[in-house]
Amino acid sequence: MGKAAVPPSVTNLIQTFSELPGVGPKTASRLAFYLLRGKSDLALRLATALQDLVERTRFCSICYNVTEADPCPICADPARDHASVCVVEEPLDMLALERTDQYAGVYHVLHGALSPLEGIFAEDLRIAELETRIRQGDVSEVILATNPTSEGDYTAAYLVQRIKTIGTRVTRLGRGLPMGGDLEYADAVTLTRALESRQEL
Amino acid sequence: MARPSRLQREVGIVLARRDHGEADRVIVLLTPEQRIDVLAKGVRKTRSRKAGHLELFSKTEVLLSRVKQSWDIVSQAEAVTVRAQLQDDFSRATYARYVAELVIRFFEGETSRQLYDLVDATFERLETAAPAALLTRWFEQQLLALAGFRPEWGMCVGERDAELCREPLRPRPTDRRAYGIDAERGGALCSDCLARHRNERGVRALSPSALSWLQALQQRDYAEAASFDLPPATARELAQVMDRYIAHHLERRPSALRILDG
Repeated sequence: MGKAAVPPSVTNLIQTFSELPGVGPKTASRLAFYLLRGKSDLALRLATALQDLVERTRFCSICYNVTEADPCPICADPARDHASVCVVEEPLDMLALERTDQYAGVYHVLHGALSPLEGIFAEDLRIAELETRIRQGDVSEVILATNPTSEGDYTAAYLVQRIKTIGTRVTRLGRGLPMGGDLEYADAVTLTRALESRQEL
Repeated sequence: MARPSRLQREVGIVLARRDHGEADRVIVLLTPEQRIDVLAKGVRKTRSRKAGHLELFSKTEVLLSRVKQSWDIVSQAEAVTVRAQLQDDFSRATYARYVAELVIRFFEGETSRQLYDLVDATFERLETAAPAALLTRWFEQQLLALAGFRPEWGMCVGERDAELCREPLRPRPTDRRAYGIDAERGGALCSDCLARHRNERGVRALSPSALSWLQALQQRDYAEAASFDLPPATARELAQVMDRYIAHHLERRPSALRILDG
């Protein structure tokens, strides 16, 4: 069976699917043929959802979260504490923090972490915007909630250097043992940090 | 049928990592024999038992499951030395990234025990009190030698009348004329050769002080080199000339130190 056996509209969809992360050519073909065979409204609903995604979403001009309304609902909420800014790497990190229901401040999304080897520098992240925001607004505390990884720590160390010159209070999320984990499997760094930040009961 | 796999124990230094798939990471590992990319599955999840043992720059004992024509997979990891200082101190963290970047750009596949020992010792010194810039300059000289790019700082690499100049170079602070650095020919130039080659690509003037430092950094061990005072002006000159020299041979500028520029 030659390539011509598959119409261009299907090949095109397969090609497009396989550009997604974690989707190989096999999965891409399977998805395309499922849409072809499946109930016709699934493909149309998907098309509409994708179109909405592109046309209706944008970045919040304050926190750079993905939003349909600018400013985003969190930045526009007067009940939120706008003096406390929590800095996260990705919008998904923000969602994780929101699920805790414990944080009443606002956010700032960097859209990545510094990684010079992969060519990600300060100017590729929303760092200048964060600085401007701190300088202009009444921000009393910046909470660094970058990932507890080498890249996240490096980004946090870089941010500390830049924000400290402005004179705002900077804090970092506590680092220690995850719930449900076993001490025996904890690594030395995590245990050290857990010991350092132990609390009086 | 399952492909044959075998387990292999290795001790290696984590040079770099990149995200892969949903929750996995590719780890660039330098062992005493080779530089390899291995796959650590699920390490981006907080519940991962391996994650903390595979942080950047740590020396880790790993159990690799080798699968033919596929990734080597990390099935167990236990950190031997964790370099926490290289995570928390921004300047040291930056120099450590530079050290790792140079190793990655200059070496691939099979490597030598000397390289492993050099990188291990450099990270260890970088974590303690060592002056990071001086240590990095020393590391550059040692690494270039191991990579087969050992610059000639002891005699002139210039050419006169189609013959090599080979003039021994003994820079003194009282020298009136500048020496030169020639990235293409791979070494230093005497004052006469600098004048002759000045307009060629990769040729620049070099102060007597910078040249004598390059000689010392190349020939002496670290402790000895570090016992002299490096004047700030020479430190800046060395950083610039080595940046250009290395960029010339890599055909690209290393990116890690760019963050200190601005």
